[in-house]
Amino acid sequence: MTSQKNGFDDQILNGFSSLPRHMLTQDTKQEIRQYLRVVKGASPRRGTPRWPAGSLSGVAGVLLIAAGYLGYHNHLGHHRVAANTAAQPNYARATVTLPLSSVMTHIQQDFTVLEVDQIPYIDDQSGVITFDPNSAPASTSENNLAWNQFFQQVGTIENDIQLASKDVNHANLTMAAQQALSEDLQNMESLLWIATIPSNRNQTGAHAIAYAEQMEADMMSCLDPTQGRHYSVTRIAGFTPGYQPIDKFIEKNAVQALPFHSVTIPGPIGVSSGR
Amino acid sequence: MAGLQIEDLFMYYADEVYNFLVYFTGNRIIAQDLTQETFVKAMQSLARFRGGNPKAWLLRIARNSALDAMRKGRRFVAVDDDLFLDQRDPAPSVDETVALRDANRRLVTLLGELKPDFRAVILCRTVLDMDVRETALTLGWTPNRVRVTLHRAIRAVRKSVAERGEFHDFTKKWV
Repeated sequence: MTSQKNGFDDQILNGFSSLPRHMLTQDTKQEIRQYLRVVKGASPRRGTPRWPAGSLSGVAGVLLIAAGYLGYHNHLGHHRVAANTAAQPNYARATVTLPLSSVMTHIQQDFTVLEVDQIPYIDDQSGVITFDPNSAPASTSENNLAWNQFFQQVGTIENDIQLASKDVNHANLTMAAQQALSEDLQNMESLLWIATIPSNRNQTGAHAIAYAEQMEADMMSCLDPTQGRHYSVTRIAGFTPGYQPIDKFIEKNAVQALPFHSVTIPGPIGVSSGR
Repeated sequence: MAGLQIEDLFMYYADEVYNFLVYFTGNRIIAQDLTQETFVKAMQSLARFRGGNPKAWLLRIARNSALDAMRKGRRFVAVDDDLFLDQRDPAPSVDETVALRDANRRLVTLLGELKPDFRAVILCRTVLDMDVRETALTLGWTPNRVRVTLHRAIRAVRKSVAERGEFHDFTKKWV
């Protein structure tokens, strides 16, 4: 570029080249690393899948829930939920049961719902939910459609997704969740857990995951491992700032309009022996 | 790609992914979120990565993530002052800082007004200092398309500068 015209072009390019080279702050890097580790379900020591211990604090958000359906009544007359993580062979199987009547959706204002990059399937015969890592949707709309169908299916089966108070906080949400789990403890085999993250831009995925993790730990603490039962959880969580107002989720019918987006976080939680 | 770990990718390329997203979105916070999203997607797709240039692969994911976010209605409007702070630079004088921020603000505003393709190709070729081949890999284009699009992008910038009537002022820092 040597002409007058191109000389100006060079100036333009040089101008952009002179923009600062940004670097992630160490805090942000640490948060993302933590998030990746949680998402990966692996410890910092490679090749040892487990959930990272501990949790972070100071998080503003959450979520929770939802469940699948096993497709039959157990001997106590409860519907059951099975989450099959067979599609994630590197992770432990999840085997806990959650009566659908216990599935609650606690959403707080200003929280958003995530999307999931893998498509969930419910087998018509077995009721088993699977996430195929090779099923990444071709488009956002396809992804949304799959998740809408998923929730429609779950909702149609039992029509029992309870919507709790909107103005919940961590404490009463956990309490309600624990109560629900305790009441049906004897009938639990699997739990499909969906975490949604706050839209607060100051919160990152790591915060949200940590928050969801803490809540989950609280819930799981009510499960008694001494009873010889095998509990673990398949989690779905993620974060996304600033997408959908949660009001849309509160309205049951609006679930169909919700974009779900996020990452699948399979793996053992708490007292798991499903490996 | 055998042996490729997400931790390694993150360590080597996180800053470049973030850098690209900062200027593609014009918003530091959104860029942080999208950086995380990029590596999560990369992790999920790692098994399908068949080798080649991991940086170009990651930047393509980053660009697609940003475009997805745009389609979903996220607005990349905030051009915050922190955007223009280069953490590696020693602190300049107040006058220099003001002048630099002003010039950079115009550049970033201008970037944001360009079509995403124009914005992407300019970022790759200038901010990220990629050659044509690497830019083509990143954007999934042919080298020729990179050249043509860059040419058109520059023309769009020139037109925008002319319309603003701020030619001298705008280019002062470049001369």
